[in-house]
Amino acid sequence: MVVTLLQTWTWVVVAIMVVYAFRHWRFTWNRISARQRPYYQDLLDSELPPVSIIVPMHNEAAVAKKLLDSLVDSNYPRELLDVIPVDDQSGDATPALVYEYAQQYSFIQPIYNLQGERGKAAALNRALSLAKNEIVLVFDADYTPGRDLVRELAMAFIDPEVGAVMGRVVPRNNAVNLLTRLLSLERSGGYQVDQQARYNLDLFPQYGGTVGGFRRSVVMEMGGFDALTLAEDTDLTVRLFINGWRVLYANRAECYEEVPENWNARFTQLRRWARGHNRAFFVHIVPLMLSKKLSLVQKIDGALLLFIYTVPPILLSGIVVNALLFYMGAIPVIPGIIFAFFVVAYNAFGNFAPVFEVGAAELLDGARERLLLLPYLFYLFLFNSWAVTTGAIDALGDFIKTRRANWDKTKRAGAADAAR
Amino acid sequence: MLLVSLVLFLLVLSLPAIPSMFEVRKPKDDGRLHIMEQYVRDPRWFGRSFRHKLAPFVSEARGNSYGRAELRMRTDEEVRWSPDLEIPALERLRGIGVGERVVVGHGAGIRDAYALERLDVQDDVVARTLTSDATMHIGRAVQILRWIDADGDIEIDSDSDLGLSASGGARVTLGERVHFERVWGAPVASHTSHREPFELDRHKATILDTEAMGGKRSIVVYGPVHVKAGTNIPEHLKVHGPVSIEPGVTIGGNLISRGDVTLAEGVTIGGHIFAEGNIRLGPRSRVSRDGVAKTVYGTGKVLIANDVEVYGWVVSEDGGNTL
Amino acid sequence: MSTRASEPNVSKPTPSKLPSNRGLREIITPHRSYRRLPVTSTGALTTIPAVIVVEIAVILCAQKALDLMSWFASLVAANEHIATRPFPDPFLFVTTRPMTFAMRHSDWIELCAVIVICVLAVLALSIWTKIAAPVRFFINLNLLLIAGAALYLLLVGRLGYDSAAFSTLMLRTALFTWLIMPIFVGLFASLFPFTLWQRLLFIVITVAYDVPLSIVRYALFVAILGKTSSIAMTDLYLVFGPLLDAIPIICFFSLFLVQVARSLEERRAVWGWL
Repeated sequence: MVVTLLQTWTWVVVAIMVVYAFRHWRFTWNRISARQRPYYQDLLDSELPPVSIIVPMHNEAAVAKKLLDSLVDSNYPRELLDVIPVDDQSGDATPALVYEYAQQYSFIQPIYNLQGERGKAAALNRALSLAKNEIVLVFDADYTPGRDLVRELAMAFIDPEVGAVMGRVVPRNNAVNLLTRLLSLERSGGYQVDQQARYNLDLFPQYGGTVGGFRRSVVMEMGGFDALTLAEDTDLTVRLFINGWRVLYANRAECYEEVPENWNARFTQLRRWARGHNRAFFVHIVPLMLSKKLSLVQKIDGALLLFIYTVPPILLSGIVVNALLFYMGAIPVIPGIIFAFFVVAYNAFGNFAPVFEVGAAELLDGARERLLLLPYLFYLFLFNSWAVTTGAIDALGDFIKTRRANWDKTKRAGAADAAR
Repeated sequence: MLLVSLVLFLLVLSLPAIPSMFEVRKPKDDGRLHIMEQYVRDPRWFGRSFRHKLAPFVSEARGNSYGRAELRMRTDEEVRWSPDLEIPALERLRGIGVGERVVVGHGAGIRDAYALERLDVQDDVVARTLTSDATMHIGRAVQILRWIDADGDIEIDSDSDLGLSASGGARVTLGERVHFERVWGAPVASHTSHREPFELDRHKATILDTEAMGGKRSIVVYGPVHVKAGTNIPEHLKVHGPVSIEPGVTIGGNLISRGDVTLAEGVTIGGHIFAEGNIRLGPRSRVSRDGVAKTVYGTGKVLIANDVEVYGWVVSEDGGNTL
Repeated sequence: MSTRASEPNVSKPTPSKLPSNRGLREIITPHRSYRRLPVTSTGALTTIPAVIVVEIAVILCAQKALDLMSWFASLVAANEHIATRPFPDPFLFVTTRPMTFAMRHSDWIELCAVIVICVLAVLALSIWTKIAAPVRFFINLNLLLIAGAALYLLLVGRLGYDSAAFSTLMLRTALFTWLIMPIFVGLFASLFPFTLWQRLLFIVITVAYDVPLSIVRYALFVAILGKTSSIAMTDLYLVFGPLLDAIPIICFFSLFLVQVARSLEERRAVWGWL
């Protein structure tokens, strides 16, 4: 009986992996060979809409100057821009830096949160209540938007169905060490192939919380950002789709970001993402499946998207179950082989594209020798799985106890550079 | 033997991974993806950058009866100045010709011509680029290999091919059977003999009229849509499928289609037209208005009948034509 | 007075053909966000005959490969003075020759010691972070599997697999791996602009390479288990078994992709637009 149950579980795990393998294979095929769905960046408009730009900041003195300089340098008409840096109880020179810019540029109007609720969702809510414009873009402080990026993102909202837009994030510090190089591969796979394919197929491209934007009125109508969540981006994406809005993905709207440079920072980041994402799964899976605004295919893909950070713990359970079955002399050979192959191909789900998706993305990006790093993605498997699993456990605890998660910010590499 | 098999095992396992290990130890390809952060979309970029490169030569040569220089463009190019530059018929001119007034004779072949005042290109000319700080006239069956740009009006006769980009600071008038990819003008206008409205296919389409709008200002429809004559949509129309529009319809905002767009005739669009397919602009179609630039963008072909005016940009990824 | 452009060094009016602009899209490399790869459904479908050819080859050669596995393992065991007794095991379309071999019995003291050492090692690695996290996690996985096996042995007395069963398992796993691998690799190959020969070579190389890997691994496992006890069996199979077969696949995959990348660079015209 126990053996049968365990063997059945192995087949269940394999079935889940096969479903995701098919999904990502389909995405890769679509991105590589099908007609790509265009975005609106090539629409020129002399009646540009006014835009508010929110930049949540907590101890960002090392990196924020570059971002603010980029926004000052933007070709978007200043009279249509309203930049709102939100200082979220920083302990460094962030408030002073932001104040200095506000003195120099009237379109930069910061908010200082001295003692209220902390965290990105709370910061966004605070800024939203003061933002003047319908179109709101968000940048994290370590990003450096190009001159035309604000316009490229703002053009999404010429479409009456669009609730949010997401651009492409490109690591700036990819060459620092093996970790950053592998994260760069992951990002490529996730954006160049995965997001674009989901956009092509009219599925669930995801708003990622930075290098993106949304309609202020829509978000306010939905009650603003959920302060309980650590993944306000996933939460917003799902709520938008459930309510009949669309999220566009702008592959051409690229922006540099900073990826974690050490394993601790990466673990913290992944754990936070998993915690927030899984909470979104618990909260939204039923409303998603019941939504009358989505097709069946969209619901299925949305469910797969929400479920994706639950898969690594399931994978780890597969390893445990296989171990138990081996101890008992009852390991099923064929699912074991399939399981093993897919594990190596995947480096553990989440936003982590499988190897063939990453390979396709890198080819499209014009890569060459960096393709040789693909085997190293497997190196991340256990690390990613464990980080996501701890986050999933946190999320379960949050959901059951309705507890508030504390915002554990990713440490900026720029801070280390500044300290040197 | 245990040790031998261990070594063999490690060797066999690591052999295919050796190139990967080398790439980690001595990276050959670890540069970041290049993002052109200073890049700004400018429909007149070709003309602007060309003028900027030639400005020193022009300011020095101007006022002289003749001038020559070598300029570093993508390759070294010879630049010639003459106040009234005339390239004879059937002549082939290497390099860049610059003048106050430039005339390119019938059947001539030139690389680049730049006029500070009027540029007149006669029939059957092949040119790489044409630039004018004032007006430009392009004759019949002219083939442009790259782009044209003028600060003033541009008039293009029939059967010409405008290359990658045609841009003007004022009116750009396209004759019959003119082929283009991107055209920018205030407005882009057409003057052809195709005066009949386009035929519309309303097979299985949702019929949209003022009553069906139900007082909404914007509307999103799934599936093909046929808009009845005289309908007024105050803001935007988005269609997840092809859309056909009868005469006299007004859309105040943007028209977005996941398929083809056909405007029969006399349709007015206040905003952009964006189609994941072909666009057919029937006679007397109007997009935007004087002083306000919008874009007509089709991933397929853009076909333009007579007396169409688009204030702004017309972009056809698959190549557009006047009829 | 107009000055004609026909200065001394202007070419004579013999019309030379200026290039057409029709091929502009072929010489302008599209931005990466607009690109597609030159793959077609027809090209991808050629993977199917390639997979079939390799499957046939596997079926024809499997018996020899499995015999080699058994032979090399026996050789290594004999050299290590491990007594073995092979026996025939008809399975599917082959007859494998697994073997029984002696494994030392671990008493409860040894098992407890293994458990304690593994747990302490895991704790130590959790604290000593000089080693990169992925490496530590991998070591911990192995330690936990070994500790789990020791605990199971302590509680139950014996593992579900004895040497004969383990040997049978290894050989059958190898066979299934060679049968499944072409399909798995074919899924990868179908997505990319390989030529038919590249597809075939990719599938053949990955499957063929797994044969010597399986041969050497099996012999090594028999030697290790024969020299120690069954404690390490689970770890050897789960971590260094089928999981390891997939790694050369990815390595070869990356090598072939680099070739594709080089050819795309040389033939810019192949990029699709939007």
